[in-house]
Amino acid sequence: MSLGAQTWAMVRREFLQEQRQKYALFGVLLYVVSTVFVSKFGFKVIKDVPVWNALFWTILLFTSVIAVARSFQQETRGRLLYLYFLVDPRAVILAKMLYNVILMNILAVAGYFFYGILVGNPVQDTGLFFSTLFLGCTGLGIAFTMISAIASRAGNNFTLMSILGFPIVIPLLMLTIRLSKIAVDGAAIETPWSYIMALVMMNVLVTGLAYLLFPYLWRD
Amino acid sequence: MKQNWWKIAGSLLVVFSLIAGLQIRVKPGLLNTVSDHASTSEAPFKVSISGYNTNFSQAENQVWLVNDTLRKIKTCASKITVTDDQHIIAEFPPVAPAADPVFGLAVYNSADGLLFKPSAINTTDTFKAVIVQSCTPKVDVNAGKQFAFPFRYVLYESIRNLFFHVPMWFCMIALLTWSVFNHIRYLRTFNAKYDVIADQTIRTAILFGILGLITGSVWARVTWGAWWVDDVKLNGAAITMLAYLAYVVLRNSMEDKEKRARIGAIYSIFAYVMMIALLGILPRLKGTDTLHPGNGGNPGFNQYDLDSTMRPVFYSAVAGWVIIGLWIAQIRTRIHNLKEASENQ
Amino acid sequence: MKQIALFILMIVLASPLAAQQSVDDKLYEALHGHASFHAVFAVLFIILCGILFYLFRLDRKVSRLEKDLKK
Repeated sequence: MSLGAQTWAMVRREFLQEQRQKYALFGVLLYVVSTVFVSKFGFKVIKDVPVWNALFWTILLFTSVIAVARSFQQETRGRLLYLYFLVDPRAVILAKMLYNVILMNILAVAGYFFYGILVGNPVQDTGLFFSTLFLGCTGLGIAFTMISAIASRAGNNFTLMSILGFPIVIPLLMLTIRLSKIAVDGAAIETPWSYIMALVMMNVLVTGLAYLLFPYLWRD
Repeated sequence: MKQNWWKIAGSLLVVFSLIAGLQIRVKPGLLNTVSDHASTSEAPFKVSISGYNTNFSQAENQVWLVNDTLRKIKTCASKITVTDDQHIIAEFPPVAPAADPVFGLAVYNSADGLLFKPSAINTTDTFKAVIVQSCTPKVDVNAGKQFAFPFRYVLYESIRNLFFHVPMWFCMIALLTWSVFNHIRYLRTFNAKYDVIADQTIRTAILFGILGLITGSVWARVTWGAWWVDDVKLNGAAITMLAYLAYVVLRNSMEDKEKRARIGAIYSIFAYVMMIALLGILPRLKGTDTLHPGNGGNPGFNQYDLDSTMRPVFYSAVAGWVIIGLWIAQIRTRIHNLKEASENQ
Repeated sequence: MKQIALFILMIVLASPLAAQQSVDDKLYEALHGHASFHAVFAVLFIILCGILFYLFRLDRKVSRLEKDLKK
């Protein structure tokens, strides 16, 4: 089977698995909603754009840690061994990344929906904001998939995942928050292409690195 | 002796940078300019000027005012009294500000060359559109050329820290690059030798990173007034340190040697690439605030920051410290190998 | 542990060097030129302390190794 076909099969497997244990996805969704509720009680309505922005991305950051951490932790040792003989490791990481990116985008849109209703929605440039949301969540999904793979090898420790992950995603997050602030302000005279290009480049970079490095992580 | 030549070279370079960095003078400049009248259009006003490293009493001085927006218009002092090498009092005829009420002040003598302080005198005059008196001072462009570090406001003498603080970062980045190179070699060959080199190099790099952070913080306190300023480069450096401390935690969390080397190598390569992105790409984007040289657009040094006097000292400091860093890493590696050998016996 | 405490103490000792800048500006100008020379001294001091501290740690590692080898 080609790499593409294998990846596709793995993605389907991920979705099947998700279907079988719906509570997991709903658990993460519930996490997003309750975090938004907590911020609602703390802040009532946020008028200040930088605060609104920072809080939104902080919620998404923690959501992504929780949502993506499962991707390797839920695999039992037997299942991993089985996969090890069956498929190309690169198909495994690509499939997991693709799945997590889709998951993160769904969570982000849901999160934005609730956050907008409860805390207020000052976004001016909706188109730019959604592209930022897409690019930022894609980056978070990809980076944390790789980090989760590393952390799962080092004893499945949730603390370890945060320690390893945060320094790695901070550059991504810094870019995303800046771009998102431009979108919320809606004051951009021209589309901030340099930021968008930098984000796209960063995503490609992380994907490429994961693609190259994962096979070394996979073998035992 | 033959295999130690590079260590000697490194030490000599560092010693040279220390001596040259501390010995070479800073060029003369104007520290303070105080006017005795708030308004420059009033009858003759006096400006007391204090210079730094200047030689006012050794040559004939010329003092003139330059309007900050209209550079061409100059007004010369009518009377100049020299108190000593560092102090001078200049008397000006009444001057009405043209276009904006801020004046730059220039002092010239053949020993010091041309000294200029922008926005030296603020006047309360808001009356505009009167052309001020003009004069053409005689200036020899080549006068006062000397082998000295540039005089920069805010920095003053602490400009020398360029030779001591900045090489820490260069050394850290060089060591991290060397370690990533070895980690890649490890992943290609699975030879434990490379992993030991890479790991020990990272631990040495952390030392230089911490030194860079602390020295930078002290320098920032003296020049910018705060221990920590919000600056992309500073934050980037701090995050890099966090990533590599996370590497140490990750590595220590595993027992199996082979596994720990492999996973450590993967994380280290990952972190390194993100660090390059953080330190290399982010500060270049528009709209990022940095107090470091070359604001938003082009970080790094341009010809204005690193003049020909500083360059040789700076480069030898960087080369010297990188070699010292590699040396420390090599000693660490040797100690580690000895420990391994003694454990295996 | 002792050495870490010593290191922190040294850093603390170095910081007033930078902080008292305005107090004895005049004196320092007379002795070393401009007060900003403080920053240079503090930075050099910290680098020296850091390297020395590191040397101590390496030294301790080697002594432990020697002890192990003797056994």
